[in-house]
Amino acid sequence: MVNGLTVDPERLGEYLAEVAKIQANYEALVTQLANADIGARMADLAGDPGHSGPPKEFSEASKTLLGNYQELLTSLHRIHVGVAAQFKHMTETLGHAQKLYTNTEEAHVTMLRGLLSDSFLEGN
Amino acid sequence: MAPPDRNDVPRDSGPLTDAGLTEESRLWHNAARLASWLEFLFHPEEHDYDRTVIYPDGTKREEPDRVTIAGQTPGQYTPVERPYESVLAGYQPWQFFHGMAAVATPQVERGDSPLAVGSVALNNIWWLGDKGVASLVDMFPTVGWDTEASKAAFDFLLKLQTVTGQVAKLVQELYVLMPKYGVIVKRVRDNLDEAADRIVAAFEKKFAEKPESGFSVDVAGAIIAGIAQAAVTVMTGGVAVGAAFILESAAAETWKTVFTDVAKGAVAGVGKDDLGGYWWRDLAKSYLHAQHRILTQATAEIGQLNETMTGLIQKFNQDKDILDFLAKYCPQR
Repeated sequence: MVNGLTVDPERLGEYLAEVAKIQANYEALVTQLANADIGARMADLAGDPGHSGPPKEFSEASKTLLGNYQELLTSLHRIHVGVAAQFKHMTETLGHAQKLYTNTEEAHVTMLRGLLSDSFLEGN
Repeated sequence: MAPPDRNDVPRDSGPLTDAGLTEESRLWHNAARLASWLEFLFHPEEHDYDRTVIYPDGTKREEPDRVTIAGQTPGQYTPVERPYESVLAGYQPWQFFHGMAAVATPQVERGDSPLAVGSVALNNIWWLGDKGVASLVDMFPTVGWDTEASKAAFDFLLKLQTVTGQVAKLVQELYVLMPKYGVIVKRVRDNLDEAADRIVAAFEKKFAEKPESGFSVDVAGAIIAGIAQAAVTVMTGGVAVGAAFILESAAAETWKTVFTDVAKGAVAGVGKDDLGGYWWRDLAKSYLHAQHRILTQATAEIGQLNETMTGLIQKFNQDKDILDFLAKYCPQR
């Protein structure tokens, strides 16, 4: 602790920087998941043999697999929008706490300097 | 060797383009050779060679050239040709490219595959859930912050770790599924290409050597079975997958690496097969049987991948931590 505070604002600031990095990564991840959407590009991933038979069955199985993958990607996108928002919330809250602790420390320093300075003057 | 008076490209490329094949396609070369032979065999009216001749009693027999008889009309001596049909009558050209139509267009190997960005995103879900958030949890006590406020912050972080950890576990299983799909498509292509090359070899042998009994040509096709269940180790940029955050700009390179690693890991050797017969029809039937077998086997593999995929969807939809988080922080729009 510094000057009687319950946390060192500097170390809290370092921790906050790490949280912010993870938050930025989650925000980038949300964009990646949105860009990973294959819904509009299904034709680029499965053939269309037309006539019935094993090739058609292969393509149908492929489309089912791709459709399920897309469903899972959508769910992963949804949950990570939430995770990214929670990390943003955490970063902002920790940032606010860090600022309060820093301000408190600065107030203590100013007050103590003032007191000590007065005492010094009085003593002389 | 191309059919007589023809080359290795068909006069009408319709059956190829209908199957989605282009000159840039990996399958084009052998597909075009096969199409040229099929054109020759389906159109005996365009040449003097192999055809199925129809005799007066209704029997049909393959003959290596036109069969004529003396003119039946008194005073007319010009030979008259017996009726005939194609040696492949009853088949349709598209049947020979039907398998290729299923795999000609999917973009699964190249860096610009639509699957590339998803692969990077899944890597990052894995890394953030498994390592990134865990590192914040591990670091928290070192801050030296021990108050009621810090306990609230730590509890919040632990809740996030629980949900991101659950999702990361699920993604570890999901990660290789789409690369495996790509590898299956590629192996189907390779095998159909090999089958086309070998049936052309059989056609050439039948035409040039006119064997007096049935014969066969060897086919060496990459084994498809086992890809879905294969255990594979994937590395990206020299490090194990899930070991670092990857930027979207590296998606193409990452996908190529992942695809190659999965293809290597899922290698099960080369399967021996053959195509053969005596009559032209037998050879065609043999090729179509091979095409059927390749696609049926590949469909079974895709089915297994899909079982794993639906299992993961079920896990996601039934996990209590995930459900609680979704309900609280991710309302449906």
